[in-house]
Amino acid sequence: MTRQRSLVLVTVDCLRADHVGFLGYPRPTTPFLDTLALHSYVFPSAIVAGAPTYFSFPAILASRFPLALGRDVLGIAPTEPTLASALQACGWTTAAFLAGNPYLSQRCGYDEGFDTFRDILAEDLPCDSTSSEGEMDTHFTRLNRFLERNARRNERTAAGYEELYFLYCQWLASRRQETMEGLRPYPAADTIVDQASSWISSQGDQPFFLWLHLMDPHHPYYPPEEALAAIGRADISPSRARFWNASWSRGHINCKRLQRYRDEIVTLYDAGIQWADTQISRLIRTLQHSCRWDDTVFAVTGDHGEEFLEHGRRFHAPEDLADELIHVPLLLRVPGMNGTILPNEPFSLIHLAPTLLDVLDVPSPTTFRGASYWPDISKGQLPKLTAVTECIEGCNNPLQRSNRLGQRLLSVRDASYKVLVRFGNSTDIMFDLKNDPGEYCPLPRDAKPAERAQLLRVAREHVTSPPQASDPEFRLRACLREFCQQLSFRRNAAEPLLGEIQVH
Amino acid sequence: MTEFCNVRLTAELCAKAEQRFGMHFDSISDLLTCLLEELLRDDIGHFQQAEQKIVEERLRDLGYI
Repeated sequence: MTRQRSLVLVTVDCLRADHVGFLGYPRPTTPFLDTLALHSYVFPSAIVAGAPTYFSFPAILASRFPLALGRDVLGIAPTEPTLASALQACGWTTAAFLAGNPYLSQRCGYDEGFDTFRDILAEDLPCDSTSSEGEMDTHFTRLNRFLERNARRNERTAAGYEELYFLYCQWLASRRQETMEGLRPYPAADTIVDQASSWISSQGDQPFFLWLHLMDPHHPYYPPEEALAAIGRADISPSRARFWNASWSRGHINCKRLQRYRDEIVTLYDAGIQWADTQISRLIRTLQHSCRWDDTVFAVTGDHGEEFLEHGRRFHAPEDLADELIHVPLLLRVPGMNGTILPNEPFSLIHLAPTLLDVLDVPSPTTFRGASYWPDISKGQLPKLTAVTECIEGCNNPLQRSNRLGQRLLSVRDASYKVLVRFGNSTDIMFDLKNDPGEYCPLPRDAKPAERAQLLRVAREHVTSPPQASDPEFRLRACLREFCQQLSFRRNAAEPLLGEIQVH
Repeated sequence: MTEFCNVRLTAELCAKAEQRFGMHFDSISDLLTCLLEELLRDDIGHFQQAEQKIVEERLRDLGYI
């Protein structure tokens, strides 16, 4: 009897499709994955169903659009079927090792279906004990406050003050001994892979599902020195990296000034990808040494991309759904299959979980919105596809409920065109992706009416899709979870809740 | 004038709820009111109609409805 296959899913935070070698990036960010891609299915146009992380993962793990249960539902609802719970129910041992993204925590329901769930949050990291707080001279602080108060009386002096204060803070920080590890606020991929490897080694013959979430390309960008050396930039010191990160993170700085740091920031970001790639290769070596690689299905993807001023923005806030934010790499290795580069159809990650389950011969839960494309993929094909991506415009702090109740931003994309609907101001714009892949020139409002209408029909179908029978229950459970969490936080804070949650 | 309904709960359940949530709420009625209001908040219908209207108006502009 043949052993049932195991599944390893690696998600890399902020991983843009156009920064991996197997999709054409010239810098050697992913030498290992480039080799693996030769024997894998490569999806040239994998598109997330939501961005950033908190809008992306409900689709990756539960094959559900992020707003389908209501805008106020964050994460996976209690008892909502997921990739993990579907496999767990069929006898797979399940484990997750996550690099401390707070939106993927137990609080947001991501432990659903996992026998082992290790979320390494910031408190597990070594602390930099050389903080200068407390060392500050009180007289100097008073003087600073006085200068600030006076400088803020007009715009020019305020800008001058901010510049000087920024440089002073950088100078102060540069007096400390800094390391990339000490500056990085989350564990690097080697920590996550160490834990996952030791878990793999402890497994018997049972099939397993292992999910790793790596944060290395996430800002602030502090890659290990080895990764910088691997991409030919061993010259970058931790203090230079700190200065660039601090400069890149400054608010109220115009795009022209930020451009000065862009190339260096991209280098740091690329080194983060390189480190993730190196550690993925180590993970696979562990699978090989444990004699599990030959029966392990392996998938690697990103939860969203990252912006480097292409449209004037940094990081990955849900303010737009340009391709640098929604187009991610996706590579699927299936033992015994040669793999190939698939057609350039937009493959939504809403279909990833059902496709993976199909590869493993496990039926998808009926709650999954996506479909399996394994029958097509296994033949090296994809049908004509349309990918929908959604988020709440400007929702930067989803842990605050009020922040989640804004207007939807929706993009609908096929292989040639993309329509972006901003419900906040009732506008839609359309891009010709073949002639304008960077999405810099929206087509005139009346151009390509048939193509635009086709994508708008998909948008209409998406926003009017009726809830599934189980949605009210999941919504109720998710609301209850949040209600109890709020109570628990208040209890810990020993504050009365009445007045905070208003009782009418 | 606001009308009120009576809800029957077991004394044991009430005692447990008071023990656990008593410091946050003055009474079981307050707790249940707060909980039900929280659960009944529903944005889906409200947003769905507005969004449908926006997309359909655009399709109408283009002559496809």
